[in-house]
Amino acid sequence: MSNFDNIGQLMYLPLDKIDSEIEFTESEFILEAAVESVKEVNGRNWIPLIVQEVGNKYKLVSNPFVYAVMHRANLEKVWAIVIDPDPKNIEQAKILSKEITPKINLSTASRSAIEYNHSN
Amino acid sequence: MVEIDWVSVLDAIPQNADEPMIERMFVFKLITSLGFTGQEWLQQFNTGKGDADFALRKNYSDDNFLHSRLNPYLLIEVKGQATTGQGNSWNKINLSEGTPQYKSTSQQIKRYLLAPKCKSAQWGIITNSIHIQLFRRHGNVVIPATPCELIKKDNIYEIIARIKNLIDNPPKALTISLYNDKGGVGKTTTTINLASVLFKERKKVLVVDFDAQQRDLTDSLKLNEGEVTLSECLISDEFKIRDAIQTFTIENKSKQIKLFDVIPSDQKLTELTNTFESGGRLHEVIGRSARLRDLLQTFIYEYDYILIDSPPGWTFFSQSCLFAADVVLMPTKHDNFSSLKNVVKVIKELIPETQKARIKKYSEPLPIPLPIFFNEHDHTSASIDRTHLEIKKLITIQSGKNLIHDPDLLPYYYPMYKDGVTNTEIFSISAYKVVASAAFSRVPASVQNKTAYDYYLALAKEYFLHE
Repeated sequence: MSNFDNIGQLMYLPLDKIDSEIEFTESEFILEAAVESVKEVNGRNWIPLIVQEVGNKYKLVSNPFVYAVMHRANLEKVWAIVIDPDPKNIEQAKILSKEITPKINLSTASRSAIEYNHSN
Repeated sequence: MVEIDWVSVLDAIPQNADEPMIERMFVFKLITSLGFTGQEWLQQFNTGKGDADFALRKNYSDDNFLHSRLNPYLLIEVKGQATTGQGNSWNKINLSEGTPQYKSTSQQIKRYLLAPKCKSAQWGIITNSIHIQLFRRHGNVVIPATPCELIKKDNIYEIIARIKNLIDNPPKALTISLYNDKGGVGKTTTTINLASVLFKERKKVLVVDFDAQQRDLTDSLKLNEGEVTLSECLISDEFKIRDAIQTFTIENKSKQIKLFDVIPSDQKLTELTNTFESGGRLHEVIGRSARLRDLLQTFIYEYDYILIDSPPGWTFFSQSCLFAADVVLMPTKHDNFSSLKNVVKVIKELIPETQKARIKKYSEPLPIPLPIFFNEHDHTSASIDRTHLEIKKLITIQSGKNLIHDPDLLPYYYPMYKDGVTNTEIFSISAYKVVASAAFSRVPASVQNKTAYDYYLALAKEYFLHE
């Protein structure tokens, strides 16, 4: 890996340098409660945002909930991890944060797996 | 702007089209889409060092380029996709980077851009309709302005828009990083004196002290931190880098004379040596090693030269300096073999690594190295013989059964060694006690002393100023 790749680095970045195109909704109650919990630990987000570098800015890849909470808490800087923006890496980050469900192979999947996927 | 249907243009070009065909079917369209009319270009333009295929310039109200044939702005060197070989065979012309044809064509455009009748020329294009690359001339230096691109139907609009945008908005500055992986070669002294000489040559100069540990440049010029510091700008957009500038002035006959602008090093810059695990703040630098380049973009239309004094080693600081640079100037000392040896590492590893990252992020194939020079040069015939022996060892490689000079290194050690001439001259700045003692005075040696001035003027002329 090159010295210029910031991949895997935990960064502390201005929130306004991170754009998001992820559609995300959450109830007011949950957001407010999360803001309070962030404020209780001096505004530090222990679950980082997942971002990719785009030119001289960053783009949110995953953890839109944290992003929304940090905005609502009016925090200027947030902790974020920079990832390699390969589509497979982005998909994996979204799977691990449960933003999307992994695709299953219907020809080999068990009945319960299909039922679970269908209900989600 | 005239819209060209590039997909049809590319479809119409027959395989193995020769040079006249490429000119007719591709280059004429390229000229139009770059915004030049039929009255604004010439074919077979005599540069004074050979004929360039095309020369272009917008017409002034009282000066038609077709008639005056003076002061071209852009040159184009065209190749065919192939030339006819024996019988019905074709000799393909491959202009992709690194091929012999690419090397000779890029050398050709560089020669034209630096030729006597092209002093006004700022841009050069090489193309055979399969590949295309734009070069930029600044004084005595020609640098690639875009990567050598493989033209495809899905990227041609983007490539041409980028070339047009660059030639319509030419940057003024050449950004030079003074770097050697090895310390103690006189980088700071060279930076200060080069800046003074360039100022005297009526150039607008900005100097950046990015050596957080030493701060030699800031200290020797006795500059203070500005209202805003460089370290603040690296971690936040709230501050304006312009407010970090301090002007270096000297007193002459009780008048203050402004020499050049400086972005000084500041106390908190060292905090950016490490990330949070070691108590530092490097993790707060937006874009890390790319950030300095982004900040200095503010000035590229304003200054003629941006000189960056880089620390030795390969850290966030030196990586940033190389990432921000158009060219890397490497001072060495003839009797300091490590400083000579380190150049190999800079040329073979560090610069290519930086270029790769810069292309990925900004499509800028930069920086490029400049030939080395000997700093504070004071030699005996025995010591210089040892130096040449050492350089010979460094640049000799095995090619099949033969030992040859590594073509990737030779031009940076011995730039005059070419075209059958075994010239091993290396530019040098003689050791001069005024320069050494000026390190303790606030005023640069080249300002105080005529001989020192001449030394550094020679350096500026050798590398940068186009006479």
